[in-house]
Amino acid sequence: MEPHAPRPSSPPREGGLGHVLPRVWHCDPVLLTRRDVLAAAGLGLTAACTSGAHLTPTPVVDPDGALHTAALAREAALLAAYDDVLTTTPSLAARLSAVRAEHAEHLAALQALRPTPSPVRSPSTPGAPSPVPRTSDRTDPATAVLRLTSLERTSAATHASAAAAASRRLAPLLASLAASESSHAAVL
Amino acid sequence: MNESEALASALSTEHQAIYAYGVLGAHLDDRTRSPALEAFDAHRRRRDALLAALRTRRLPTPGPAASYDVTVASPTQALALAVRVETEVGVRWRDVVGATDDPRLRALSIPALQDSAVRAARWRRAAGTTPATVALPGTG
Repeated sequence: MEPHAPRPSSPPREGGLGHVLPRVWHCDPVLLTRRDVLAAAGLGLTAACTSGAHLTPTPVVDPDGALHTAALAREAALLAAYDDVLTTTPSLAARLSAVRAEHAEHLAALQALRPTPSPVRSPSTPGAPSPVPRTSDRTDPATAVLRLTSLERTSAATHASAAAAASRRLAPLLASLAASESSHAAVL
Repeated sequence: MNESEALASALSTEHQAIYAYGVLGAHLDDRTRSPALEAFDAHRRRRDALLAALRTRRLPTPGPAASYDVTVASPTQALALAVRVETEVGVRWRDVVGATDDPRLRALSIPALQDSAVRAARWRRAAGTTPATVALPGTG
């Protein structure tokens, strides 16, 4: 195979936050840098530019906001499901720990790409797979793995649908999450 | 990378994948030969879809090189090459995902990335590599 140049392991989208800053921010560029604007947005201080009477601030809009939040919730739910199984069925640790670690990476990658950090919602957020039910047979290793496989498959399909609808900034990450979870389902 | 460049790059890599599977398949045993044949066919379908997308956009549709620098002398090397092929294919398809807003190209590229990740994981498992999966397929 022809060698290819090494590629970065995370999306190198410099300036990828540009789309979250609508042109309504007509602040003096000397007094207010983009970093300031982002910080203000993160704190909800959207009135930072109201000194000019003719300027009306508009909340920062993340076009991927709902998709991003739902993806975070899916990963949190998957992590919780793995933790549940690993707690009740420690014999599966050798088989599941690496996959669980990849979900932790998924969550971190999603959080790193979030324009304004916010706490991960509860796993009960719509779009998230349901946690593994607390039933007596969940300590059966085969059943537990089957359930995790099903969760992986469902989450992969939802990530893929979300990737199709997301902006160019978020879509590649969601596609990678869909791909990773499809591969989990294939080899668990 | 713009959409045209991403499509051209994906096509180039699918050409290489088809060539590589043609070479490595001869070194696999009965257990792994069948999935290799399926992968060969899958990459041909993805190549054809890319050719169609490029033609629709009136972009060049380069064919494969006469040969590629592929050396396989054992089943172990064959499996390692299959993993490399799928990893590289995944990178190129992920680039397409991030380079287009066209729903048809998204519908082509996202499953292509998923399929390459699944095949890479199965080849790693066949080679005894652990873990068999990666957290972010398509990132190299």
